[in-house]
Amino acid sequence: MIDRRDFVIGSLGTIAASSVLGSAAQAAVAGDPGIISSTKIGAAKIPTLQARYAFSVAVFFKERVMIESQRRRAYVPAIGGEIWGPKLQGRVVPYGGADYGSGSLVAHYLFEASDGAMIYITNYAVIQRLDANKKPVPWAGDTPTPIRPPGEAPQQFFGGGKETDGDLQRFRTAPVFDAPVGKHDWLNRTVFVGHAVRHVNPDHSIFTYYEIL
Amino acid sequence: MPDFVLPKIDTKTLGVPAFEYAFQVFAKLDTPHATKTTRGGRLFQSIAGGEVKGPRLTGTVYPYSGGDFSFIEKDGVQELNARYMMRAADTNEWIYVEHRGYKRPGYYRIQASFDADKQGKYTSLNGGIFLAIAEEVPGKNEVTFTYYEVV
Repeated sequence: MIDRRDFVIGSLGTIAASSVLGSAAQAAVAGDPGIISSTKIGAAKIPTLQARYAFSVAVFFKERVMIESQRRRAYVPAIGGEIWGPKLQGRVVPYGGADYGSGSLVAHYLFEASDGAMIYITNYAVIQRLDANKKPVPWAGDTPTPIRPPGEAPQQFFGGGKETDGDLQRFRTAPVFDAPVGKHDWLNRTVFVGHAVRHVNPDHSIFTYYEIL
Repeated sequence: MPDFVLPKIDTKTLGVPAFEYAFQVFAKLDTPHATKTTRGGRLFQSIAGGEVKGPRLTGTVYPYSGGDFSFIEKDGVQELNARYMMRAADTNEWIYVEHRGYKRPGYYRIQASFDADKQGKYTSLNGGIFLAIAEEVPGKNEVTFTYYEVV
């Protein structure tokens, strides 16, 4: 059970809580799961949405700062990380960016591809809490956590210091990239979606990005 | 210098997201207006109206409630940046729609998000990450958006 206070602290005042990977999904795939398609809807003329695994990124964190403005501004810098997968390999530049989200998660990071290219990512993300039927819990109220005195760092991670529980949380992202002209510039003209799983000890999240075909 | 140790990646955590069909919007667009700026191109196109149909919502596009403010990159790729309002047929609730995406030959895909009344019938649209396939209706100034929630 996620305590609301932990939830809001960890998620930086995000939207509503819920989450995630069903058990079938959890059993899936390290590498390329092939093409993922939306479920067919009867005989209707609904186009099928398809996505393909592109790459994964582990982002590590240390500081978790909250500025107690009315909108509660977060600062959670990336202290480093690694990128792997079929479409991109490299590292997350230490202190090359942070989650500066307010209300929802908006992170800016710098990636360095293994060929030396620097790639900027804006990662819009949402963490929702799920009920027993794995449906998002509607946002219940506006009020969340007591205001901390200036300078006091949040001590708890999302979920009260526990890792993302796929049965309780849904952590999804909509990234936008800015890559240099050349090998990686397809990132600049392709829609992506990602999901993420949080881990503690050490504090990090693993983002898995899919290219929308 | 990194003060972390990369753990062994637990591949079990790398699940696969699924896409759940939400609804379609049959949008009527107004005439596009293009301008050249020092950075690239700007394309503005109002949304003149439309219908919304599907399992998550039935309603209308509120006429001239917004449109697309695209940026045209130097390579011709259109960076979509749109917003408009919908109204639910049954409760008359207002729902705000925002699009980010790319349009280029053979590709017209969108990341979408919605704002709905938190105590309303359609509050489940809040906070979700949605994707859309956009299809231009041949010979008409119309686009069909098919929205999916990423679950």
